[in-house]
Amino acid sequence: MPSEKRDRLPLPMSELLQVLGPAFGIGLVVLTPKAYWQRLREARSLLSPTLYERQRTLTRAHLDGRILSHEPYLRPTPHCDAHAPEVIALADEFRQRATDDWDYARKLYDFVRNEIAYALEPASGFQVVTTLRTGCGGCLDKLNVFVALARAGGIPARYCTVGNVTALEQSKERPRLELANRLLKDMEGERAWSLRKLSRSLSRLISRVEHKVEAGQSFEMRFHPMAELKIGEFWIPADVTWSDAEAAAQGLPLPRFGYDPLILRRYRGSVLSRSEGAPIGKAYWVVRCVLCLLARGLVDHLNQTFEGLRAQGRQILAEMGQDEYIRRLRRFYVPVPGAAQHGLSLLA
Amino acid sequence: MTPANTDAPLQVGQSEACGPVAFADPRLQSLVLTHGSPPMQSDGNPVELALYTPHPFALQEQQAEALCYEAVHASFAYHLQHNAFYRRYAEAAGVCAEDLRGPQDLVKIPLIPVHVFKGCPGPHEFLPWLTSLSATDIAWPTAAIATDSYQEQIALLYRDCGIQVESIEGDNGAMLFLPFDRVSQRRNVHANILTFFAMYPEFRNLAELTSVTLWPPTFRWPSWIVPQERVRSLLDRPLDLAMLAELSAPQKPRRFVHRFFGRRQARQGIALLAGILARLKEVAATGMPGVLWIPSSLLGVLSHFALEQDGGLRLGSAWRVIQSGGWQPNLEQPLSAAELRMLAAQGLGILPEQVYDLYSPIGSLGPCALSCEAGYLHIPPPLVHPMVVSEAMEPLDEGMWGRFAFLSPLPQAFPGFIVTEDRARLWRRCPSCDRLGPVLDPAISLMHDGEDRSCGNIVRQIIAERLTT
Repeated sequence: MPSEKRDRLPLPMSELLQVLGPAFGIGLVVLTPKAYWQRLREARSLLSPTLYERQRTLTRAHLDGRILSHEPYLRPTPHCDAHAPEVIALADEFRQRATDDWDYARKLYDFVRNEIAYALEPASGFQVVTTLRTGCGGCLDKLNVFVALARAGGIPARYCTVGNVTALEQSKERPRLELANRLLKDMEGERAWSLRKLSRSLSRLISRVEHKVEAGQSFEMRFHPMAELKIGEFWIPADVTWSDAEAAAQGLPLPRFGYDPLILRRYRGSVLSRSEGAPIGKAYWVVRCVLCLLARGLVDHLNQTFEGLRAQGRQILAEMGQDEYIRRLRRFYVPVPGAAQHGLSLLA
Repeated sequence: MTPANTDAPLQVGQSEACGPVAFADPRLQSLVLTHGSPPMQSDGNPVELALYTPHPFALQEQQAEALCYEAVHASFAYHLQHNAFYRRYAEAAGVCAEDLRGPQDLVKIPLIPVHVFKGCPGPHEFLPWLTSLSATDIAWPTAAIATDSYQEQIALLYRDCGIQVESIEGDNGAMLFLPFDRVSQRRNVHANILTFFAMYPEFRNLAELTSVTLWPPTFRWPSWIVPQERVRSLLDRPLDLAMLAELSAPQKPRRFVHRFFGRRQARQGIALLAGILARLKEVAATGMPGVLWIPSSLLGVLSHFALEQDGGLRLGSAWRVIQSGGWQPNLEQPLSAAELRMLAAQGLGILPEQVYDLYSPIGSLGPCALSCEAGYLHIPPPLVHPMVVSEAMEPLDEGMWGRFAFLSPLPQAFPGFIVTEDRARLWRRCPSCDRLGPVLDPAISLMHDGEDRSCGNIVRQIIAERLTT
């Protein structure tokens, strides 16, 4: 078996910028004024999210006299405020409905996956409460909510990262690139000149990466966040990135708590790191926030595309039936260690 | 090489239908008995029948298929009954023992991705994690083992419960663990011994055979094929220290040594290679036949070095080299399997046909395939049902590249139905030799989501660690 040298990035930064070209930079920001103008016309805040209709009002718990845990894996960590009154109120609500820790974790898992839409928003990453309020967020935002709610409900929770080696021979089958290709295709069909430019720049980048991989280089991205919840003796891994509809739209198995997260199977296979706090520093949030604000138009477009994807996924599930969908992909449902003793029910 | 089916019989004694399994070859029998007694023949367990079947590489396809099916079926039923984790998985997949009605149904058996065995969250959770994946009828310790070290826990499990936990560390630091209870240990070792001698029957006639190893002691193959006193390790600690003491390395630094050991350790590396060569020459000078067990990575470097030093070694026709570990040499350019074979032949003074490959899909921990003279990897047909599957986990046709998976009925402590991280293609029979049974193309590589967890990687780490101390 050949031992391969793996790079952290598919291309050096200079080459990356060269391939993307100036059109990419222009394309990023050219739609931004329109996006903000749209918000002003609709009498919305300039910082309001794309999917503003998902915003919700949160109730706050009274914390007077309440003992909050400061034990490791139960206490708040940066970007994961498990002691926020809104988080505790929601956790209490789930606790009342859950029969035990497993049931509580499962309910949280489904809530975070399905009720918080996958979308990029500049502000939601800073605070769990903001993500809950806006009702949307990226993988790390959703994870922060999941970990915070678990901790607030008395279940120790921690963050993990999974490595990801991408290469050509599988790239077409990988959900991420499938998704990327879909988004690009969608952009290519847009009327806006800038979106078409962006799509071409990104397509150029993908083909350059594929060329590199063809020449024998594979690259490694050491990051996809996941959580582990300690229930009984076991740390149960869980990936809350995709909702049922999003998974169905991509042809992936519907995620279920207690079953091996697909990310472990499709990507590297091992958890690379585990930590109490979110595995990303402040710089990430700041860069993400600035980029999202500068490229508001593009971000709105991507978020709308995801919304379309969800609609498509819901239609697939409605036509086929959830049980039948799961039945077709049931070989992918490997229980995680420790899950066998709990009441796992894959089919409704 | 004489095909297995025309060689001296390796057979189960038919006269002792109620006694333990016996072998016609007393030398083989003594080797096998060193690693546990075979069960009584009257046991009738299909797994044991498949394991002790004579001439595995001479069985007709249907015969082998029937034996393998019965064994895998029995093993599947066993794991459904005794392994809660696997039972849940099979339930989720909607497969039960009654669904297997013939060899054509083996593809229904749910395959465990190998990463499941790498999922231990840490030493504190080691025992509960391991037990949750294993059969319940194993005598696991009732109390938690109070230590933070994997190795200490593994040693205690072996001492107190007879459970051997094999482990391999991958290049990202995640450990893969597989538990072997006494039955699984015995079956694993016996299967490997019997497969080896069935594959290379000429070794049975070499009474003075020496097993020379460049592997750490955790690689046990060298001591399975000869009595322990005929095993010579060239990489044990005293020998390493002696080599390091010899450091002088006046030679001009070589680029391939730099690549293998790293620039800082190149000088020590040269001395290490020189030491290994000197020892090998000593062993070869005795004139006794031998088998050299060597990681693929080291084979390339050592052969290259031997050629540069004094035109190469002269091991001769009585020697065989068995390379494994899959980790290709870091030479100037990557070598194909045939090129590496040629380089080894030139460097060590043997014929290319005397260089064999040992392929182990999950380190050296499970079933293995051995190469024929043309390099095709032969899978013992009654013991392993091999498959190549797509990313959708659908079996692929013969000759198509995909992910290698196998059904092995041998392990009892964990289900041996595993989908690996190796990219392979399968043929129903060898295009090159007369041995029967499925073969894998020699060009096995890692799937791109796989990690370098081969044993060769471990050897490289050991050498690097020792050179820096």
